[in-house]
Amino acid sequence: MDDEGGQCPKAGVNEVIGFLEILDDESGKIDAYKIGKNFGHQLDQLLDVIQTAQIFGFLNVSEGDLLLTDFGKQFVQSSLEQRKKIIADFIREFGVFQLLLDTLQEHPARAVSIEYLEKSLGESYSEGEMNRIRDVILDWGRYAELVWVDSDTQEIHLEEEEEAMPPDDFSL
Amino acid sequence: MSLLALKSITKAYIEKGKYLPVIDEINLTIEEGEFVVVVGPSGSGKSTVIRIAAGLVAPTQGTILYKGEPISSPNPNASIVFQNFALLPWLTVQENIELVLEVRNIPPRQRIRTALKYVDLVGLDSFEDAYPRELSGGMKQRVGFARALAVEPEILFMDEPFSALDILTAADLREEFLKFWTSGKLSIKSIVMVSHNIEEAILMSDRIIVLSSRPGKVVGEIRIALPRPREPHSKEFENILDQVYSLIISSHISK
Repeated sequence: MDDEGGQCPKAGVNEVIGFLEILDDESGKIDAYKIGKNFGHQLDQLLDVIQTAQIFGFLNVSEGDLLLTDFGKQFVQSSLEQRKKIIADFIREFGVFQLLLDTLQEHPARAVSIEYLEKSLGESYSEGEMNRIRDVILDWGRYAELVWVDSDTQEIHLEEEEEAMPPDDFSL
Repeated sequence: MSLLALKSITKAYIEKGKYLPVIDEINLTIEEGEFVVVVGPSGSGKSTVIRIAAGLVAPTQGTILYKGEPISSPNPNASIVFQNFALLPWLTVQENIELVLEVRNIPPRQRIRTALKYVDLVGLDSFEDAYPRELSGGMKQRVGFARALAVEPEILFMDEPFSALDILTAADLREEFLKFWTSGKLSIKSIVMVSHNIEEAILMSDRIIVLSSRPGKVVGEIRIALPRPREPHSKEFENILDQVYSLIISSHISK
């Protein structure tokens, strides 16, 4: 199921968290078709959300049932700050984020153009997919407060606080 | 004998030196009288299946049989309704429909009569001289239907015909189309539609074929014997929703 270049979220932050919250409201278990209604029965969107929740270890799938894992439950019941930290720890391990963060660290201005990210994604994805994945990556990166995006200059910047405390996070 | 049969159809492209199968070993048989919907996420090659089945695109491997005879060029007994309407902007509604009749060598007078008959049928009476840009999305797709029906095909292919429309317009057009289909007034013997909307697939079809993605393979099928019009909130409908979702989730999501 993995794409080239390792795991990568396919759905946006709000979609995934909204989905987990519904699942939590349903005591952690729901028939896929019932959640399908929330997506207007559009297949692509639902599969992307399920796969993304699975990458983070928030979800198990059994036949047509979707099951919130203990970790997923812990995540949903966490505060916003804790959620951001959990996501940050996770996505730092994904190949695509590693590459982006390493490049940002090396760069004196701690910034790269969005085009740079697009180019590095372009090798594994078609153009349409690349645009979507780019947006999804920036969405998660911003949520986790690892990067921020200057939409005027079209640049991705490293979040300053992250520079001050990286070693601890890797030991978790 | 079945109306249409796809036998071990594979379609592949070579991109950046890699062999990329879009669909792989698809076997599919369409019986006379059947409305079949092919469901799958993007990347499952749904549109390719339809284009190959209609003879518009040649498969890399495999055979297409229409009434038992192999076909290797566009099937004259078939027509297609496209997702994005595919109307020619410089032609009026009537001219867009007449064009496909002209291509099939229908004499001019009969072209006009037939075009107007189908303009009426799809509820666009008095819009025959309008240009596509003057029409709403729903009206454009009505022209798309009129054009596909005007050639009086035996088999109709539809490539996500409702997905470019807003929800209410899509629901109206879907319902109207089902009325035509079940009335038996159309020349069409069978329909093959592709969709990524599961509810739509269950509302409309007699049988759902589920495709995997990259490459598209048939992972299963579900027959739907519910009488039409179907009620999406009924217990029976939900049971089928559950079956279709289970099949899709188990074939697309690794555990």
